[in-house]
Amino acid sequence: MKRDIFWKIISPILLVISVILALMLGAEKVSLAAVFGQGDKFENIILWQLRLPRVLLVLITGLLLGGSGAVFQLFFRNPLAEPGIMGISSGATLGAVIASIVPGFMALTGKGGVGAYISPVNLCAFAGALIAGLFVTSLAFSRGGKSSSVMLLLCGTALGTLYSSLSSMLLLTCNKELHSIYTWILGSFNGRGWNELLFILLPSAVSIILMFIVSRPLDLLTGGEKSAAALGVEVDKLRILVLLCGALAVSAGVCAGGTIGFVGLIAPHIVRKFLGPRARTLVPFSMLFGATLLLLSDTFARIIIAPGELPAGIITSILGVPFFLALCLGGRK
Amino acid sequence: MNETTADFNVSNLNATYNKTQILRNINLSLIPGEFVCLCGPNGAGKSTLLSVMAGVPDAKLKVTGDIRFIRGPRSLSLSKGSKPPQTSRTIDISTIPRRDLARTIAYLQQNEYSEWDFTVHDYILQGRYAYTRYGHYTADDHSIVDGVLADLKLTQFNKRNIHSLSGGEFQKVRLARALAQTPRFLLLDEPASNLDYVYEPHLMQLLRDTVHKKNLGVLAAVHDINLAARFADKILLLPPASAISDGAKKSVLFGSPSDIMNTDNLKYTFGVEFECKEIKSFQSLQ
Repeated sequence: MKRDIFWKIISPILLVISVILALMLGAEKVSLAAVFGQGDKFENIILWQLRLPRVLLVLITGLLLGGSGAVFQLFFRNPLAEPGIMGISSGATLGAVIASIVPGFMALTGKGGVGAYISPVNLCAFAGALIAGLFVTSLAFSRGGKSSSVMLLLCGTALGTLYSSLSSMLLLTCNKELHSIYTWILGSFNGRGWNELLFILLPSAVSIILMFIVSRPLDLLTGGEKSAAALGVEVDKLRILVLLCGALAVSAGVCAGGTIGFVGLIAPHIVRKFLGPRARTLVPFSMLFGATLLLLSDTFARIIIAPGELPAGIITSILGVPFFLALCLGGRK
Repeated sequence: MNETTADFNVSNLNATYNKTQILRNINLSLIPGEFVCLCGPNGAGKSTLLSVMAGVPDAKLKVTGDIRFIRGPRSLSLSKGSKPPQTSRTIDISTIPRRDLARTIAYLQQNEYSEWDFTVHDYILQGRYAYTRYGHYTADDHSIVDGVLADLKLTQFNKRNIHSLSGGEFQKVRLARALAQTPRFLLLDEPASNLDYVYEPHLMQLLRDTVHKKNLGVLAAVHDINLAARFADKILLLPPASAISDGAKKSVLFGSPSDIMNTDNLKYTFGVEFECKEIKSFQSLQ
């Protein structure tokens, strides 16, 4: 019990520290005083125009990835599940690839189009994620009225592979500069700002509220859908809410930072290790850990080869995998 | 059986799976305080019958027929206030929300495992979900869990991790979760399977005592007919649907163990010859 309270206090503190670090560090350093509103004009411009929107964007994406990973693992009672397994991330990538290759989409970047506010790549990624989510759900639901969760995971994995192959095919058959789309696929927050933040605010808020709504009955899924239904859970309704919150979370996440994998997978496992398996602690603390992990990764990505920048998605794996393996192999408590 | 005292009725139940008939014209009733064991050969549809009665059949199963329980005047008077109505109501289980069903009927699947390693207390607490508002468990819920733990002599396991329990202990913890639902009827699918020769009768005796003490109506699928004959108040024999296809024969056989467990009935149900012997020590139980 004492250990539980320790981790419950320490994890929000860790998050606050990573937010402050993320605001301070980068190609151009900002003093701690500036973070608390005491900086000079130059520092304030960096802080308000560059750092703050980006840090908020990373924070929200981390919350979404961590939370949706926890919700998916609980609902599908599968320690490998995350929204990416439904093929949503690959769908988003396909959307982004189409946007960067087909000439018509890029024309939107011109003044007056939607592209003036948000890049067409991100817009198409968002659309791709939503369409992929709807498609895989309707496909799994089409058989006999009710869908089985296993069918959903199978269809999702298969469709995800299909989308990835289509993306690779499109990229290899066109003779364009691949650098920008490549960093996008690896997951990067480079050059994102207030516009992207405003765009994902609504879907993110809806998704996070849904995560809290679904979290309590999710514990009862531990013995499968039948057993949960017999205990009084309306499983069919719950499934729709879970899928909706996952699709929104991933769409918003890829729109903000491309396809960042792994955070949704490991954040819940880390929390489960320290705080136990109960959904009412697992879901919110997975959000906190997801955000902390992504903030630290993004900060590292900005300072390692400053003034250049690495994709945050790479750092997530480099930082996360050793930590994760050490935890897993360290034996159960 | 006298129809007017029956509390949980299944009538004209048919179930088909991919055009194969699993259950044919099943009629049965459960009454509180009676421990009924469901016996039949593999594939006769014991699990199917229990899952249909619990309201959680397989999605591909096509079910026709009527499953109702009687909601007594007691629970109605709670909702209607000072004027207790004289008549009780029969309720079709397919028409009520799952929460309401879970407060009346508890169902234990065969060989269920838990993916996550809850403590015994937290796991049993899940049985209280149907009584909570949005899953917020109250102090009352916790004390009901403590009461069930004490009833089943599981109190020392309260803080244990369920993955650290033996098969028999976990089976008891699952039973505790079902009892925490404070149901009126228990539907159990092979509650004593995979247990050793000592634990199997121990669990059956525990079930029998609990059923009588708490006045529950219980239908339990038990594959071991000797075990069923030894502990059950009544036996329900379920022959495969294919064996009764001519329609004239009975779809279920129901009665006390001494009446129902004879060579004719067992041959009819299982399709093979049996030899029945009376064992002195079991006489008192029957």
